[in-house]
Amino acid sequence: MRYHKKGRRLPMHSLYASVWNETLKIAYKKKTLFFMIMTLIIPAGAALLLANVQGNLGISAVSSSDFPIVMLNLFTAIFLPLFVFMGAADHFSGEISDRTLKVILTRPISRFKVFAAKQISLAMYIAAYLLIALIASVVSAFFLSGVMSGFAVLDWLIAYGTAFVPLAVLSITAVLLAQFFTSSSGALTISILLYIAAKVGAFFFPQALTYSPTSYMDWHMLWLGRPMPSGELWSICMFLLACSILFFTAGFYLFDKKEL
Amino acid sequence: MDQIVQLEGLTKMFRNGRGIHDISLNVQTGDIYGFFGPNGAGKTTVMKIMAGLSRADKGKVRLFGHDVVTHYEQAMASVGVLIETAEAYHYMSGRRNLELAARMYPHVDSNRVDEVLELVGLRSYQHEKVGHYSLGMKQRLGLASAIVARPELLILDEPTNGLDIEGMVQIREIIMQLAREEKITFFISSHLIHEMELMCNRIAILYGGKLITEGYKSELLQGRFSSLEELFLHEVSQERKAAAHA
Repeated sequence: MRYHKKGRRLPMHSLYASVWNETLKIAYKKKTLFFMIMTLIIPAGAALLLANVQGNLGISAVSSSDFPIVMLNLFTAIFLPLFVFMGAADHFSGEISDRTLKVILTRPISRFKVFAAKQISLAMYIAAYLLIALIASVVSAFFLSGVMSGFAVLDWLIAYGTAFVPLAVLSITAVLLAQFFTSSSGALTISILLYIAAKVGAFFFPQALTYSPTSYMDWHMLWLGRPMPSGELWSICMFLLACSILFFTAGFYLFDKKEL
Repeated sequence: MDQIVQLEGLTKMFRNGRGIHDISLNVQTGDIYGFFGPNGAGKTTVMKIMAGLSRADKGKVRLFGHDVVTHYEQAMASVGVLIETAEAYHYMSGRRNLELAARMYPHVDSNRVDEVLELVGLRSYQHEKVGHYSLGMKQRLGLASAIVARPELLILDEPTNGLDIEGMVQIREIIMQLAREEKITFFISSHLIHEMELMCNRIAILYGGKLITEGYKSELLQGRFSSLEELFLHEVSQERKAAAHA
């Protein structure tokens, strides 16, 4: 049994290989390229539009140092959640409907590693999109007037870095939701509807929706506060961590029980 | 010879009352084991449990001595699987699909990917997207993906299902070649008794979720039956009589 011995020598090989495979699968999809191009185009288009409007009106509502943060608010509210929902739906429900999940699950890899690899690859794409969005926003900011200070650069890095956390939690939540569906379109539709409901509901029931991870998509703004509200940040951190652990565990439980 | 597949009292019932009951069998190294039964007999259920895609209500599956529920990675380390229709990522080329499979095994390199593409006759189409492949090509790609890691055991569920005669002959020849050259042990299910007769040295007959007979082909026929078809009809009539008496 020579392959058994080889398998034991590299116990984590299957996880690394699976993360790489999942990352490649996302990369080869046309919609990934589309999202990447949009991530580059949106800031450039928005900056040109703003520069034009502000120039005509003779005002400067958004300066070049504010622009990357304005763009981040847009990305974290609409654009990246949409990518997260699509990614989670395709990675789980989509693979069930395409019947490709059984191809992965019949390899010498545990279901936990498959589940973790899919989650990790989604998180890697969120980080990559944030990085691309940051670069595109900073470059586009040159179209606008204003001075970019060292503090502004630090703020951008903090904001884009911290924005990863609620998006990663949203991804874990979307993966949990996807476990209830056997088609990616169903999972995607329900995820989007629930997200819209949570966002709209926040206006009517602000107290109740403090307990929804979707309420913290703009938490990067708290990190830019002077002084920084450390108590509030700590409690949000703990809440997001609790959501991650809970939803990851529940998602894995459902994934592990799946019969294909 | 080693028993590389051990099924012990495998039972699984579905809500519609169908299922499998108390399936026990062993597969020895070097066997081409035919798991024969009509459509709906429970072959795919057994194979899915063997491959860890489904869980049994009762019973155990051991592959190479490892329980598939508790030690899945060790159990599947030398196993290739093709359950039902071969599926692949349609937006990727055949080669890319094989590379995804190969990456899961540290000892498999790109030369092996070339080798299996050649073996299943897909070398010339390796860069075409799988979405453009015919059913027969997808089935051969599925087989290539199952053998890319040089498994010692191949579990194939209806590998010729839906193929035309030419496609069936191609798959059969590949299986025979693999058994001969790569010394792979096979566990193959089919509802086509002629296929089983041509390929397998050992047969199990599943009927209504129960294993009604099992053994080496020569021993089962014993000069009493001229073909597996005759044996099957005899065993089924015996089973029906027993059911009627009960």
